Amino acid sequence: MMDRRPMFKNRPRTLCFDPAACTGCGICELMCALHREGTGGPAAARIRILGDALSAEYQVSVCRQCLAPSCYAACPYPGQAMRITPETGIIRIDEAACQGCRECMQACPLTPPAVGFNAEKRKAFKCDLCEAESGSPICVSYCPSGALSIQHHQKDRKKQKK
Amino acid sequence: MTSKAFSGWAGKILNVDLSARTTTIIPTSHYAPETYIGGVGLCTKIFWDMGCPDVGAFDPKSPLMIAVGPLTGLPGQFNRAEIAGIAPQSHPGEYFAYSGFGGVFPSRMKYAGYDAIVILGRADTPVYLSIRDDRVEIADATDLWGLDLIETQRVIKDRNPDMSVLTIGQAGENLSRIAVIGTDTGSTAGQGGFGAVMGSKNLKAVCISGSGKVSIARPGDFESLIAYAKSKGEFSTGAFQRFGRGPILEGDFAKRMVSKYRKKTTGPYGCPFQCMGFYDVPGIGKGAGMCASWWYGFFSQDERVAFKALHDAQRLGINHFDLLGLVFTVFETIGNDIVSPEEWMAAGFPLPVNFRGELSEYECVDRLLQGIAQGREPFADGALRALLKISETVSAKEDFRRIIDIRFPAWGYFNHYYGWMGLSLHMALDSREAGDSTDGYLSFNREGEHPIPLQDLENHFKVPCGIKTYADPETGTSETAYDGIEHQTIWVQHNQSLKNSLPMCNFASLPDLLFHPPEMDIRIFQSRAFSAVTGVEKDPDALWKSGEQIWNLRRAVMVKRENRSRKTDTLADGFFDTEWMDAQHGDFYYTAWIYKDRFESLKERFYKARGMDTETGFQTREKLEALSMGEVADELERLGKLAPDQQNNPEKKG
Repeated sequence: MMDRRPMFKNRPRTLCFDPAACTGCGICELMCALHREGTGGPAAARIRILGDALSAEYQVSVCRQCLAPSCYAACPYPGQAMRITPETGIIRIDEAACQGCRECMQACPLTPPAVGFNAEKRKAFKCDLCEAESGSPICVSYCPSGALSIQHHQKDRKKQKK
Repeated sequence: MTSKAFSGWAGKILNVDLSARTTTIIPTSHYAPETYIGGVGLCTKIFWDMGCPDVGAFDPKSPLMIAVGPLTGLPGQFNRAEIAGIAPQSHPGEYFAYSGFGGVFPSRMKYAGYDAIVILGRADTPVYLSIRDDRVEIADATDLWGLDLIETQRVIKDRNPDMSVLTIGQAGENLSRIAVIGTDTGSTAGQGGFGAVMGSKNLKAVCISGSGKVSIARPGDFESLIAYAKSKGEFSTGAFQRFGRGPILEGDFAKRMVSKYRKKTTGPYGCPFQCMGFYDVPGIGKGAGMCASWWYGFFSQDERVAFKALHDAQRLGINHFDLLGLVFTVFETIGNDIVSPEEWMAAGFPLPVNFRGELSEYECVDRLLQGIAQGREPFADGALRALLKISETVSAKEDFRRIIDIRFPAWGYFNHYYGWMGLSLHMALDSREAGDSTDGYLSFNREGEHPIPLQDLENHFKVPCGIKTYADPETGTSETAYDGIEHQTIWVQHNQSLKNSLPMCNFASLPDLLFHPPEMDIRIFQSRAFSAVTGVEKDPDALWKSGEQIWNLRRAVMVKRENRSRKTDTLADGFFDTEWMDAQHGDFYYTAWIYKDRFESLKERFYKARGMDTETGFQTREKLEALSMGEVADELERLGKLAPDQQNNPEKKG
């Protein structure tokens, strides 16, 4: 049986979240749903903000781009339905190849799972940091409070310092 | 329109009969949403189709409506809802009115699949409405009755963490005419006293959770529009919205409040402005506030007592703005030696020592708020009615009545008031406080309020701008105040109708915003957003026509149900008492006077510009038919409330 755990040279880049700055406005959710799914509402978003307005305390629920991603390990079609970009460690779902089995959702160790499911398309979806596009992910671009940012590779940071 | 013909709308309206404890679903398409859109427009259409029930606000047949719009649930300043119905706050009668709110609830209502919720009847015991997508339950609220507005949310959220809760405090339960309906901490439908309507129905809360999505006809175009706003720096808080992030008070008070207690900013879900401050004051509580929330801070230098006043009013569910009006009026009459502290205390008003009373500020705030929330005299009937009652007991009754007229100039509401004639005309023609439109007059008239030259606004929108106030302390009454101002009022009324129906926040709909002609202005933005989301193509003029239709339907409701006419389109008598005003030597903040004859001429020009009858203030068949509102004309004609020249001319009726 093959070992499905990917081997990384670097830590993957991930989103950073500052709970002290987050106002719970949810624009990250809404812009994600609009940009990636062409629809309105957090149900179609790859990032979710949890918390409530009574305390103004919020947390983020989003894929951590795990070093040893159990979603990837659970996918029956690794390298096809679920792919990993070696340079960045970003794990993404290829919608055309996804069979909608939801194994990745069930395998996600986060609560709630960071992998969602589009019941109409019968496809899984998750955050891939808008990898296919240049620039920042849409959620980071539109966050009005600066609560979201991108954490770069250790290697990249060293480069930046130089 | 079929419910699935267009995107944007959820397609369903939930009707709830609390007396029978039943619920039904009506397609939104029954109410011509492509014309009346949502929010205030949709509620007005529903109310009109009900026949404009001629009942009191607390009658079981009095409807309580909550409506969102096609843009609700999308990223931007669109996540508001409007509450409409027969408003107990109105004076001298109870008139059809509305009030908007933000927070998280409006978006969740849309995701649950509803454009509106219409509540009728009265439950025999306290209940709350629990909505989870298609599952609707009228549940027992016996254990919630008596809890405050924040406690109620906490209890329901402990049971159902994913639910957003719209609720009332003790003021609503006890039928205070200045009771609000609120959600989160600082998001309330404040005007109208609709909290008391909810209380009269024994309805403690509406809680909702939605798992659905908002369909968008042309998502790429809508995203491009949002990207455009962002590229112009207008997808973040600007000059006009920033004032709410801290107390709008002079001196060090605001600085101390922000530096010591503000935790972060907050605002409606999906809104980039986040123009409220969220405060955490140890020993008192946590909550959001902006502008009028600091109603007691205007009179105190103690930031803790000001926040206690803000927070306790939120908890009890009392309208901050009318508290400001009430306290402002009381303290103003003391400061000007018109009503003595002894007279106020004899009438039952709690006075603090700094206003020559006997109570600490904490005791004063506490007694005042508890008195209102518990319905004790003299506050049993809200702010204005309490003042009128007290005016009967004081020695300087006539002077006091004049001050009440200035502070509460129309329809029973304390008013946002800057002294512009266009706004005065607006107030005279509306049925509620004009706070949802005041900033439009500010944008058009006050130089330096925003970076756009007023001459540019005038040239572009073809309305007179930069009109001097008629209360200019240097020059007295401004001669320019009356010139062509009817066109400014009509522009703001159309804008008001649209923004409250799309919906789009007042602070995001001002004429100076997104002002990049010829490629963009606020009308173009709203038209493109509406068209991209719904698939109903309306250019700016066509959408503007919807604004005109909504205003005309509201006018028809006022004429049909509330006997509105040219005679009643007016302000309180004190505004026209120039002799009394002159005698005060400008001693009163916002003192102003209006020449009755010039105001009447302005009204005539207004009616004419709107295609109405100048003698009666009634609508004409010709105009209503041009707006595809022939059925409205038929009904007004049946009641004898269509313009007489049209009624008596069968040939013209066609």
